[in-house]
Amino acid sequence: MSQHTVIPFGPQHPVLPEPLHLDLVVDDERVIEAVPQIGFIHRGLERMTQTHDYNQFIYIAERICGICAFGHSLGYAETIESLLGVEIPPRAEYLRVILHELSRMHSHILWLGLAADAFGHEALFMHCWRLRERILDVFEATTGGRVILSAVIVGGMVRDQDAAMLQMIKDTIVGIKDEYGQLVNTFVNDSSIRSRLDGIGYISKEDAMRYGMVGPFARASNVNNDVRCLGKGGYGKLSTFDPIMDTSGDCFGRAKVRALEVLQSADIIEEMIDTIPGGEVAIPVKHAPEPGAQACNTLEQPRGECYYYALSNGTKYLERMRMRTPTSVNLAGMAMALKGCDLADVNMIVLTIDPCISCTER
Amino acid sequence: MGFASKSPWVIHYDASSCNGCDIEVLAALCPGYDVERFGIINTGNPKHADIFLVTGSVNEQNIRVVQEIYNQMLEPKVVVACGCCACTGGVFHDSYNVLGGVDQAIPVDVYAPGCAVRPEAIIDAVVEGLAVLEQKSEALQQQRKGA
Amino acid sequence: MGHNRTFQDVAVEDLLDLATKLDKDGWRAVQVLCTSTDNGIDLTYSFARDEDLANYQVRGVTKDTQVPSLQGMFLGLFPFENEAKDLFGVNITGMVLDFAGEFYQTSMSEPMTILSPEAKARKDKAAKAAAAKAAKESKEPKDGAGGALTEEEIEAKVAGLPPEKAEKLRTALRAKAQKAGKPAEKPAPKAMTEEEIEAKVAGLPPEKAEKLRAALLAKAKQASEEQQA
Repeated sequence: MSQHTVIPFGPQHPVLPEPLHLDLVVDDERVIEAVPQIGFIHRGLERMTQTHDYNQFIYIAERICGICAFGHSLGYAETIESLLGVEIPPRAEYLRVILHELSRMHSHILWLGLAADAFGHEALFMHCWRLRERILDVFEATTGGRVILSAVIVGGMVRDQDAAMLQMIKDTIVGIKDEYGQLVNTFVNDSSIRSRLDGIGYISKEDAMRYGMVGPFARASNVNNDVRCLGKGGYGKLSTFDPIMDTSGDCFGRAKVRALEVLQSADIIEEMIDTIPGGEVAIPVKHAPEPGAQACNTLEQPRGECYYYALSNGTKYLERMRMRTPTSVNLAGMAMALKGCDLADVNMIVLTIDPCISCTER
Repeated sequence: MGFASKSPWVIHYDASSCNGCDIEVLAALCPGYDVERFGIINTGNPKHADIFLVTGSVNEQNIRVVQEIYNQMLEPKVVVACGCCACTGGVFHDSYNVLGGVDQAIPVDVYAPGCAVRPEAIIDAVVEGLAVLEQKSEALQQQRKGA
Repeated sequence: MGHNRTFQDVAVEDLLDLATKLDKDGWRAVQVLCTSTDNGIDLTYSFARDEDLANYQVRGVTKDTQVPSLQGMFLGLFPFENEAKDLFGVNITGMVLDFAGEFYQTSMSEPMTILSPEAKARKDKAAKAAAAKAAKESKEPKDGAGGALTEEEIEAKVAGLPPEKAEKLRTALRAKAQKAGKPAEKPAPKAMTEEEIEAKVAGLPPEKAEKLRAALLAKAKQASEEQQA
């Protein structure tokens, strides 16, 4: 006769970078059900549109999440530009894509390191974060910040990058590729890693579509929701773009998708740097939007599709600003993936959705 | 020179942080800045830790968690508030759900500002904290001798 | 490019049927958001399929309206529906995962419906300005009657004020009475002559002078046409 116990997991746990509470209903060592509880990071920043006008709010939007900071400032700026009906110069679009793809590389390498720590490979964790420091050096040289970049404003970019700086970015990317290739080889081919990831936390394609999953979490189950395919902004200037998909649907598939996306981002950055046009990088934007105008926008962040919505009331203070992040929809998928797994696999499965709880709760 | 400041172990908790300061804390432990060469290890167990690195501001839901971790740590212990949000609430200080910095929940010994706090600043703050740890350790020993 | 975005209104009674139809047609639920307005809460449901992003808006939901939960078909919406309940006070019924108001434990209930002091001040100011404008427009000078103060009324108003203030007020009220007495007549804009225009642009840098000259010439032309008409 088996017994059901409820084990509280989190909010403080060495493997969790962010506070998330799970109530795991276990039967001996097998998880029957997992009920997530969030709310530890809720700062209520959507209401701060009442105290900060739309140009000041971009600094708050950036600080929703430190890992996807650039993505949020980019998505917010694009939404406000859509609301105001403003077109930004093409050079700014290219620069935004370059920095966004760098942000994706740093986010995925960060995740690979944390995942390696979660399945017990600490040396791989250290190597990943060592490589990541080079990307942070690029951020610091180009924008002045390692984590919170503050490089985007409504209307374009804060500062231009000259040819020497772009060449430096390209050299760094090319320099990382070799060493990173060795790490990917370990992730994908090493048998002890495979034995810890294969078959864990399986979600089928039908389930992935039913729960509305997005991002690499869904692409590993062969469901493509990648917004970059739709060619918005600088992404429309790419010669070709095929999202990286995998059919295995388990933790290994998700790790593989993210590992390969880093290399794809490196190629995108090189192409953008080679074809970047000249011109200015920002246009001044000061006028208030039309009262009652609304705009929505989507962006492919490292964790998936992010949805933004803005509603104006005719003043420079937005009536409503909404940022819906990918982890919010992936929470349902995570809760389902946890059913039937071993207790020791819980932290690996929680980590494979790449949880960014601060994004979810704002 | 006492023994308390040699190879202190840290425990890290993200209160209401955007995560920027947390990844800088982890970056301090990684080969770029490498505090592990001083014997500093990131542990998950409050009873094993000497230094409590807190990031992010405090709200209704996590004030109990922060206090719980602090209470479970053993004396002598030092609290380092990393980042502007942990010091005073940062850019969110006037938001409806933010009570303020970490000092609203527990007593803080060292404040390390920055948004996000740089790993060099974290190392500086931990070194300052070590001096405080030494003082507390001596005070504790005096207390035990006197009793 | 990007998604093809549309916004449509939908009634709360049709919500469940709409969701069932979208589920059958292979749409994916993106999110639910609430906006606090003076007439209640507006809900926006977003669905996506391939290149289309459709937003359906339910207007003016109050505390008494029962909004059906879509979690049965789209479980991924549970964080948003619970958030709507906690932060906005929307009454959503029939949720699969219902946190009963404990999803976010905030110190004030329904915080997103409460205006911060700055926003309230701005709104009040805008409302006052709009009311004053409306009042002014309705109080257009009617022929003759009303507005003109007699001398005794003017003296009554300035009685008790220090001398300089009294004098100032008296002059102003007299001028106003005089103006109110006559029917409101806009003085015909006098057309500026060439010499007057040149006098104005003298001393300015060349580009500015050119701009100003062109503007004044156009104004003069308009004014002379009006005079002739």
